[in-house]
Amino acid sequence: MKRNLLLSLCALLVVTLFGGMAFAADQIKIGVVAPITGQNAIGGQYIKNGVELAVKEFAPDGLEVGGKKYEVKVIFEDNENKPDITANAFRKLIDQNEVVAIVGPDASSTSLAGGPIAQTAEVPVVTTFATNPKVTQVGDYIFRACFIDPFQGSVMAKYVMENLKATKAAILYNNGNDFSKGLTEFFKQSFEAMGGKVVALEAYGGSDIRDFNAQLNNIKASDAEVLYLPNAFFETGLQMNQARKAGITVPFVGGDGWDSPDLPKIAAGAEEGAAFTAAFSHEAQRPEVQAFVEKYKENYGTVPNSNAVLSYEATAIVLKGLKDAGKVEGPALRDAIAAIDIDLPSGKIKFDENRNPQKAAVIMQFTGGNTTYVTTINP
Amino acid sequence: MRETLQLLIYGVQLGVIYALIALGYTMVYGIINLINFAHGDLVMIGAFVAYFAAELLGANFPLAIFLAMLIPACLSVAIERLAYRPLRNKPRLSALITAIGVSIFLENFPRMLPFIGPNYRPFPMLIPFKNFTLPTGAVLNSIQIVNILVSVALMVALTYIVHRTKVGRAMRAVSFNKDAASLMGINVNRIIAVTFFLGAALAGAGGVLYSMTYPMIDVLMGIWLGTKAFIAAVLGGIGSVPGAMLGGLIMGICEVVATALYSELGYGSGFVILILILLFRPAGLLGKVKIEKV
Amino acid sequence: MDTLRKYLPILGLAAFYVLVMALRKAGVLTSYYVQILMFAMINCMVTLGLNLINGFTGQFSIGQAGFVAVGGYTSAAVTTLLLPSSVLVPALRPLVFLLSVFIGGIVAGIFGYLIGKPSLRLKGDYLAIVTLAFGEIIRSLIRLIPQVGGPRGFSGIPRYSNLLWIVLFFGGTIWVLRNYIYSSFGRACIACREDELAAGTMGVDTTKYKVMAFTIGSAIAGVAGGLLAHLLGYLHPDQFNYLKSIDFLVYLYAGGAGSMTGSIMGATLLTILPEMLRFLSGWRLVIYGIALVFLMLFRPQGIYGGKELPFLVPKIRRPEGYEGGQ
Repeated sequence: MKRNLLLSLCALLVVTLFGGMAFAADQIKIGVVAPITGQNAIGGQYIKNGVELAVKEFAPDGLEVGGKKYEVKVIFEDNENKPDITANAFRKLIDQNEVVAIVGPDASSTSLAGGPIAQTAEVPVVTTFATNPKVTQVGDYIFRACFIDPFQGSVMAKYVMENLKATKAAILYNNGNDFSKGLTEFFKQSFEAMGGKVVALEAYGGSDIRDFNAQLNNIKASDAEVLYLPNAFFETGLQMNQARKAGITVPFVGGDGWDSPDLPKIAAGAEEGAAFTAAFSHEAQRPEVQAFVEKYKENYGTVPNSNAVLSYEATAIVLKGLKDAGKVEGPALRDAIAAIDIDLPSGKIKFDENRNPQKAAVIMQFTGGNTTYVTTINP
Repeated sequence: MRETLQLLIYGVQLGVIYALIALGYTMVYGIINLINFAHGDLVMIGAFVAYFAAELLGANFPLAIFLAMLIPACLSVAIERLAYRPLRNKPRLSALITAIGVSIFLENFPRMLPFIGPNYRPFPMLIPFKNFTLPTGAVLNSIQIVNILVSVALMVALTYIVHRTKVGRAMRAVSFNKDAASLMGINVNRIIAVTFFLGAALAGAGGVLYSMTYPMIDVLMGIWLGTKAFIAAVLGGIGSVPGAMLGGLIMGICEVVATALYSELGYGSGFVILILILLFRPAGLLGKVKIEKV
Repeated sequence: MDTLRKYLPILGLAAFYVLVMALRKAGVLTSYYVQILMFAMINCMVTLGLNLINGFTGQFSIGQAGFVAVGGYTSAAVTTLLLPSSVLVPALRPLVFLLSVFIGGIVAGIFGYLIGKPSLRLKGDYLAIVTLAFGEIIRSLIRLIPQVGGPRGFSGIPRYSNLLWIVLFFGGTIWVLRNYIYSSFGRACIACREDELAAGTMGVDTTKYKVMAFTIGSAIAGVAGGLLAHLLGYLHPDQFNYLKSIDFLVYLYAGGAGSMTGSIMGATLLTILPEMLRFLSGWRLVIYGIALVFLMLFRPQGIYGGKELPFLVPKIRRPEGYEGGQ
């Protein structure tokens, strides 16, 4: 009895170990690392949708590479938005599942943890939303689908200076978040280079903080003409709300962390007129954008956000890269992606020598509870 | 002067909420020596109950807060019965691990339910918002007033229960010496259940008040809130009811003042205050130093 | 027979290492599995350090992750900022790595001493809160140091950790701990746990031993942190928040405090389990929570509470002709 149990356990172990190698035959396996649980689980859902939509569109019944037809299999791994779990996820996808490329993750900190593993293993990575410049510096196998923070910061500085005609800015940023801190630095740099002055610089400790009254009190006492809130939408909604309640009347501006239909719900009207930089606007009148928005609405019932479009584009880049490469192999795919020239909802995508795409940023504004498109700023 | 008063208002408003939640921690600890890690998650459940009550039943503020107090309270009693009571005579640390397990479950199970999910949800406005300007120029708004009034009312009610009723006397007896109390004919199990009930009710109320002030809820909101409230309870002297109230207020005010002074590190001020106080008063501000008998 | 028993643990570890390497070469075990094993061993080391403080000396520390962070960041600073691999010949690199890990451990131990000395006057749950507070303060302070990346995290750490080093350190930790516990130092610690007042009357300087245990426990955590930094190649302050400290607590008590085998079992099982349960995605943590509750309900002393695997317990040498009791 006991021996049978032992034997069956061994059998199970062997099966699991070899299971991954079973159907290697005519499959292209693409790994996707996203936060399915954890703090950014909502983003994870949009990412999943974006990837699936891309596969549906670019490889509806398989992908033909080098004259041979392949089935495209996407393997999603949860990274809980944590660096060490990301490392495990990358390892698993590369070693167990033998993926040819990885899409994701969606944050700089997690991308920095997983990047080196893929680089050593010669597996191309296209991160969706990691905006820190360091991410692609890890190695020549790491690409990103979004713009980088220095660009975003300077775009907003330009908008504040030229469109809002403000020369004194206050900033409230998240000290525990590399994205927020990075944007703050880049905005400050650009703004001051253009002759502006940051008159109040306030921080808060992390994404779990809900009370900003003390910082807003200080900001109110300064003579700032605009308040820059380069934070995630949930914190920003609260910040706007509290700021208006405290009597702050200056306009708000922010970054792509704002791009969510939930922000107006949380800000409850305080967001009216606030502008932010984004990777994507579902209102931009370009036909590719509208086509994508329609398809997304058809399949998933809601309007897509930046997470969805970036993961869609990252996946599309991988799929086209495979076709261009002509073979299902890491180094060839990497070279193909580096040389890629593809038209996507965000525009024409080409990578520069640092493997960052030359992408325009759009400025969006909240009006009447929805985001409206203001303008596009090219690099 | 105006600045100080304004900061004080912010601090007190935050502090009374910490106090409400800290009371739950301190009561449970006082009676069975357990740090109930799941307490913060009961706050979250209270907030969600109020959210659904308002959205689905169109409840108004009194009804929402009543339900938000009732349901976590019942849940807490159930948890005590199922997870903590069997371990009452076992090593204390086992109950602690169980509490951690319950907390992990409460954080993740609601997330899997389709109608809750991991999303942040905006909390509805249960009270009309109005700003009142005080003579000195500081601004007080209606939500802050409600926070303070409701919290104070609940704390007064609790103090009344603990000191002026038979049940309260039994609670104090059990926390003093469980065995002696049972020898005196007190149904210890029932009293412990009552303690959990009251503590969780306060937590649920705290959850609603917190959500009204910072109108955004999600399943993980209880983690940090619970930790801060726990620190407040220890600061005031764990096991002491007035200690928890004092500790909560101190935490709230210090946090706001420290953030105003140096926002980068403000949120950690609570920890520093705690360490300072414990260095000089190892049992917390109002805690009783247990005399060890040989 | 005695000699064999004496060397069994070392032989066992060596055999384990050879087996894993062979399986990896044969392709049966992928780098993924080996990486998980390495994480598991690092977690074991941290848990063993925590065991000394919580399990054997009866204290209650919830700050272990802070010490792992100190050790990790310090050793990473040495290998990445002070003596980066670019300026070293390949032969020197392992030496620098070893040095950095030890430095990480020593610095963490110093922090342990500085924090332990004033705090260990506090009892039970107060100590817990203070250690939690210190853990968070350490994390916030690390976040403020731009040279190690702050909230962006510390990237570019050379990945020196491999299976050999980790197995060696793992074995070393067990060896050190085992010798400590079965010595007069260890007995003093256990006396503090059992009844501090009685120990004091017996002439045991309880504060000294409590601080000593705290220092050693944090030093071990620091060493593990150094190994971790060079395994991941990347560190982020949020990895070491109090929730991580609670993770270590769970490993410790689920495995059984006061038992080295328990710590190893607990840490290994609870490191591997979440990875094995990846297919459950969102339900994974729900099941983890329920599993913890059930584990405690049915086995409150932990899996290996109070017991040790026999080869970890040294045989007590008795003088010739001794016949008496135990």
